[in-house]
Amino acid sequence: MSTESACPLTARDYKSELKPVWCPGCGDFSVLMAITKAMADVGRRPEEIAVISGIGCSSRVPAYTNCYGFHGVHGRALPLATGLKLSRPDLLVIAAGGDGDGYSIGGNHFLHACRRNVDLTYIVMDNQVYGMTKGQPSPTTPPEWDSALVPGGTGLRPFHPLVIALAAGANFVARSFSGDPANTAQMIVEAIRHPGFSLLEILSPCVTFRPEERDWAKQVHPAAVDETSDRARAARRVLTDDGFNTGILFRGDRAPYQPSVNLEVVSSVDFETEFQP
Amino acid sequence: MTITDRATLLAHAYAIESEAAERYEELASQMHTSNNHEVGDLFSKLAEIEAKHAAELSLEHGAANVTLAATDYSWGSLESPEVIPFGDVHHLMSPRQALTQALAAERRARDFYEHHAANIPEGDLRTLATEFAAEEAEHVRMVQAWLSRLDSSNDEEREDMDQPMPL
Repeated sequence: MSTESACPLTARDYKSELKPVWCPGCGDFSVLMAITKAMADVGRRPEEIAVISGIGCSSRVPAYTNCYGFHGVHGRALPLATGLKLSRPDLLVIAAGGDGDGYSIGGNHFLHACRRNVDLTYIVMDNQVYGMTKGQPSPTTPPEWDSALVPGGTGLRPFHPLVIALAAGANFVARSFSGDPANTAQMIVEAIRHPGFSLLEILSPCVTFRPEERDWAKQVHPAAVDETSDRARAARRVLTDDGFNTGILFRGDRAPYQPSVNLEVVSSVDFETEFQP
Repeated sequence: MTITDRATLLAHAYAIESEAAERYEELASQMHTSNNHEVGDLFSKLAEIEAKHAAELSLEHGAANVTLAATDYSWGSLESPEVIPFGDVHHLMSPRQALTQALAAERRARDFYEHHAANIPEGDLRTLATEFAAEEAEHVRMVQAWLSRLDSSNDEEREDMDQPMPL
C-alpha cells in the first residue's frame, strides 16, 4: 500500500473539528500538536492511521484527530491497539493515554504489550495524577505528594515505567516534555518509524491538580548520554537518572511480533446477526 | 548560532509569525471553550495581527517559500520566541494577564532579532534583521498601549464556578 501522499500533508490535515476540552495550560494541548505534526512528517494519510485510547484526559486524543480512532474502556488501549495491528498490519497504530490508564488499570496490558513487541507506538502523557477524576494519586505520583485526598502523601514507591518497559522487552524507549513540542514531534516520528513496540513517555503537566508541575519546564534537560541499544545499560541509566532526562534512551533490535494472518472476512451484517435475539 | 544568509533569516521570521498566529488561534479556542470569551477575543485579535504579519513577510520577501528542516531552526529556547507557551495560560486569566503574556512574547521576538542583528556584519542582511527588530519593537509598544488603556476591571481573574477539589 502506498504510504506517500500526492501532496504534502500538514498538521492541520490530521486535526478534527472538535475542540479539546482540556484545561488551558494543560500539557496535552502541546502533545496533540506534536502528534499531528509527527503524522504529517511521517506522511501517512489520516485513513491509514488509527489512534486508540482508554479513559482519562489524555485519552481524548482520538477524538481530536481525524484518523480512525477508538476510545476504549479504561486501561484497555493496548489490547485494542494490539488486536488492530495484528489484524490490520497495514495501518499505522498509535495508542495514547495517561499514567493512570496505562500503568494502573492497564498495567498488566502494558507489561505484555512490551513483551509481545507488536509494531505500534504507545504515547503516555504522564502528569503523575488522575486529572479527570479530580486529583487522585496515580502509579507515578511521588510518595510525598500531599493533598486533601491523600493527606501526607501515599508513601508508596512510584511505578517506573521506562525501566519496566525495558525489562519487559519494549523495543524503543524515550522520554520527552510537552513544553518542547518540536522535539516531542521528532521523537514521535522516531518511535513510529522504529519497528516493534515503542514507548514514548511525555511529561505533561496537569496545571489544575499539580500546578507545581509548571516547574518541569525548568527541570527537564536533554539526556547527557547518547541513546543505546544495550538494554541493561539503558535500564541502569533510567533507574538512576532524575526523571527529567529527555531523549531517545533505548533503541533495540528485536523483531516485531506479527504472525501471518489469514482472516476470514466477515461482513458487518453477518456479525450483527450473532447478536440478534 | 549566527544567521549568515537571507534565506535562514526569512525562514526564522516566517516561522516566528506563523507559529505565533497559530498559537494565539489555539489559545483563543481554549479560552472560548472555557467560557473566558473576553480573553478568547483578545487572543483572536492577536492571532489576526500575527497572521497579517506573516502574510506581509510572504508578500514582501517571499518568506513563506523558504523553509528549513525542523532541526535547523535555532531559537535558543524550547519554542519560537513569539509563542506563549501552552503552560503559561489558565482558564481564569484576566485580560491584563493575557496582555502581559503577549507583551513578553513580543519582547522575546524583538530581542531575537536584535541579538542576531548585532552579530551580523554590516550589509543588507543586517539591515533586514534590524528592520524586523523595529517591527517587533512597534508591536511591543502596541501591546503596552493596550495595557495602559485597561482599567482595573480587567485585572481580576474570573471567579471559578466549578472549582477543583481543594488540595
